[in-house]
Amino acid sequence: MRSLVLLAAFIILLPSVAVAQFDMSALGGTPQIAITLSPTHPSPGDVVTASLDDYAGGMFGAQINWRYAGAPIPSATNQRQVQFVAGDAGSDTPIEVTLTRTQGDTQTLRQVISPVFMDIIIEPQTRVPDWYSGRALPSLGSQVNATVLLNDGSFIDPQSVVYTWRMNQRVLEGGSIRAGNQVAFPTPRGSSVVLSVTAADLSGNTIASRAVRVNIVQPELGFYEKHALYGMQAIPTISGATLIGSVVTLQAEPFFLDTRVYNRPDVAEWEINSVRTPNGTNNPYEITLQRTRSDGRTNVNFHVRSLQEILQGSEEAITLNF
Amino acid sequence: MKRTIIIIGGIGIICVLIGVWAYFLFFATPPEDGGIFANFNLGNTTDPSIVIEAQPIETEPIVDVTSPERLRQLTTQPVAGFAEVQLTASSTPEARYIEAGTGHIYSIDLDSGEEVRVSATTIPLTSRGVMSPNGQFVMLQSGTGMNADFVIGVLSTTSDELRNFAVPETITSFTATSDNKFLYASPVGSNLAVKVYDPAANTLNTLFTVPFRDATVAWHHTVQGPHLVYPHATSRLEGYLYSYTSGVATRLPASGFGLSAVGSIDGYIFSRVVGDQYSTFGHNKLEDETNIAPLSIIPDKCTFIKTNPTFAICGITISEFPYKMPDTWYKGEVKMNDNLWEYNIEEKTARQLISPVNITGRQIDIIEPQFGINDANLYFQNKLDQTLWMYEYNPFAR
Repeated sequence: MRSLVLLAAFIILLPSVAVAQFDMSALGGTPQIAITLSPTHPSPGDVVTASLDDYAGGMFGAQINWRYAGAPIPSATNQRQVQFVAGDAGSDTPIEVTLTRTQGDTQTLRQVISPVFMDIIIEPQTRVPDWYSGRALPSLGSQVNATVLLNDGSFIDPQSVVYTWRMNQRVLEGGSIRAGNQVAFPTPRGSSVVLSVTAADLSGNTIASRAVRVNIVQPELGFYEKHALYGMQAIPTISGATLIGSVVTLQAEPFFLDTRVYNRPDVAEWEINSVRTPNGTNNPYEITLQRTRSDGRTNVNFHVRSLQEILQGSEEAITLNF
Repeated sequence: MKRTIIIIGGIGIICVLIGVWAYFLFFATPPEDGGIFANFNLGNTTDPSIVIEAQPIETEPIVDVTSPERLRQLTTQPVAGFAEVQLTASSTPEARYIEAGTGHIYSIDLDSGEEVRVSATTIPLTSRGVMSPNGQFVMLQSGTGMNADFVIGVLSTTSDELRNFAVPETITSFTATSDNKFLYASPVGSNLAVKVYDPAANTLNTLFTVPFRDATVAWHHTVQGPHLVYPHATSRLEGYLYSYTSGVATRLPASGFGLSAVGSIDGYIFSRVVGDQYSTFGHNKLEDETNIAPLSIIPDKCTFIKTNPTFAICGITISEFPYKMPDTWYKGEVKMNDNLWEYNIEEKTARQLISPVNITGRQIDIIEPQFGINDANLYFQNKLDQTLWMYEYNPFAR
């Protein structure tokens, strides 16, 4: 008897189970017709492509009408794609598509575009001269500080955002971090690295996502004349230059050398005409030369390097006429 | 001919040759320690350091401030800073400059050309300075890098003494405003704090904080701004542009590799690398539109006219700039030969004002352009020798 009751109950409930399997929206499943955006999280002013994806083929023969910010887009009638320009930071602008099927029933799909600026600021911890107005660049082994700034009309408080950083698809900091809008990482080998970050609100909804390619350079070296009174001249002394005056102080200026190597170089050597020459000052990057003849030329070479990271270094030479 | 005569003649020729050889041997040989390829003789020494003698400053009379030309060179020596000041509301504006290396301050009467030293107080290794438009206060940087010190000075009205005191902060950038205050940027942790100091009231306040350190501030001439802020420009990394007005930040729709900018209340000019070219754009706030500029401009070479902020005056070298800009110019590897241009961001037009190389024969790489009182005169430095120049932009405004 008990088995019969259970069988009867199963037969009665079976249709509702079957209906529930097809009613995905009731279970919170993915709708079979949807608007997808490219880029998925646009910045203000981006050209955005909205596409109508019909996975079930249920819109066969349907009339398609698009509306952006409430205004119809006649040129996109019966098109599965439409392009528009994202609005200002912090604005919420709807993109809608209405499908009118051949049977006469209609369906409207809607997405809201909320553009946010996502800026990834790269601050390599390599050395550039004080007078240099440009930014330092990362070189192998040097530390890079990265900061992401979200702006929806004003800066979004990092405390309300969860950040996930990746470097070449490898997750940094062990995973997502609330308020973690800054990371530091050593520059890996290679000519560039792809740094990406995804920002989500505290409910897990993605606010913005972006990736940047960070170019990696080799340290460079330039020679600059240092005047006792006026200091460094921001014009490099080029090879073959003719020196005027009896004494000249040259400063070897490394660009993009790891600041740790710059401050404590394993190798910092001057050579005059291929002979290693102590520079006689506390500053290993500076040498003072004196003319001893009325004319001639000399070759000046400087080499700075770390012995732990052999590519952290540079060597340059110039010829000076006098 | 007899054989004997031939032998005697041969011996005579040999004797002459021996005599010539002996002469060169004892009288005409270069000294032993010299030669065509002489070197500095530092190869084997262990102590080559030498006390450097200051080079004599050129004093040839190539400066003539009373010249009728609209473009004039005001100094022959490097300057650390300059400004046009007006001591009282009724007094005539005068040009003042801070001598690089010493910090001495000089005043130039723009009518007579007379130059007077108004401060003889030496601030060693002065490398940069600004002055308040009322001529009473200066802010100076002494030394560079980790050895940089910053002082604020008060000029005496009765002597050539500069009363000064140190600013106990690390400062990356500073300027003077039209209302005689100083603005400066100071790193604090991973941020950059921008502060305003009023020397008359001796008050210090934080104006705003930039959420990153390696920032360039393109200062406006007022405390309120808009001050434009962007990460130091490089063609190898992306930059973004922010505007701070009355302390409130706005992200401007400008970004890209090599980005740098200059602005006014009516708009801004920015340049960035597009493809393999360095390109310039002008943004007009009134119409909220951005247009490509007719010429490529390094924004660091521009300043907006205070009384007509849709116009900017720029030093421009007409050339195809490579994608490595502005890095190569910052390093000094690329030297410009600028002409002065007026660029209207509203009309999207540019016109050349003057060609210094045609007028003076001198190559000028313009930096630090700055207008004087009422925008009558434009002052700037030549990056190649740090000298001070002036261009009479609007003589009728004086």
